Amino acid sequence: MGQPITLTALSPKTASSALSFAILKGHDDIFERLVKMEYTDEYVPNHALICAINMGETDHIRQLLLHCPLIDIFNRYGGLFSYAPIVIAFSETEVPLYIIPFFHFQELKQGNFLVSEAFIRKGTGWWGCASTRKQPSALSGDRAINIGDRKMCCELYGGG
Amino acid sequence: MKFQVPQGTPLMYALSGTWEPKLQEICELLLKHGAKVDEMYSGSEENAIQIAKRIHPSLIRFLEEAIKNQQ
Repeated sequence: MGQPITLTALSPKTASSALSFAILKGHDDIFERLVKMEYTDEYVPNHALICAINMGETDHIRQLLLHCPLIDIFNRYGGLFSYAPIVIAFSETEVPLYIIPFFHFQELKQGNFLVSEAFIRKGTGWWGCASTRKQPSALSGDRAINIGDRKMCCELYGGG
Repeated sequence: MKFQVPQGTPLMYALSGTWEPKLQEICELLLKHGAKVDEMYSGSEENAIQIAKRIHPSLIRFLEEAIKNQQ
């Protein structure tokens, strides 16, 4: 398995989903860290803003407006957002802040699908905690989320 | 696992919600950041004030004041 990586090494959309999820799950300490990252994809803070509004979190709204130049107040939102694997991982495990640097994230091509997988370091091994399976051409809202792959990940990579 | 959001701008989205106690504060933040109350967005059937009339009538006066200040 690869080396542990930090959230800053993840793709912008993955980090954005983590930012959004930090709001949704009330992980204020994680939010504080992620909101100060320099995002290059406007999806990142704008999705988080909608999440903060959805939660009625005025402090988070204020911070996003202050810290994120890519916030587009006129952007229109619609459709479905899919959670990235790391977000599912958060959901499944209620991962505390200190474990974030011990995530491993990878994408593999399997036939016509791109499979994204998230792993949490556990002891000397890696625990496959979530995966998504999507068509490379699909929009993010159309991604097929398959957290049922967790067992398969454990069988393939050990741990669990 | 999917997260359903309604169509609209952040201000419209806020006004579509049910978190009344903090709603005015949220709207104030968005308005301070440049959100427009009376703008009709392409492809939308309602603007923010029309949404408020339907869901949060108590905020209409506040929003009308905001329109005056934006003009």
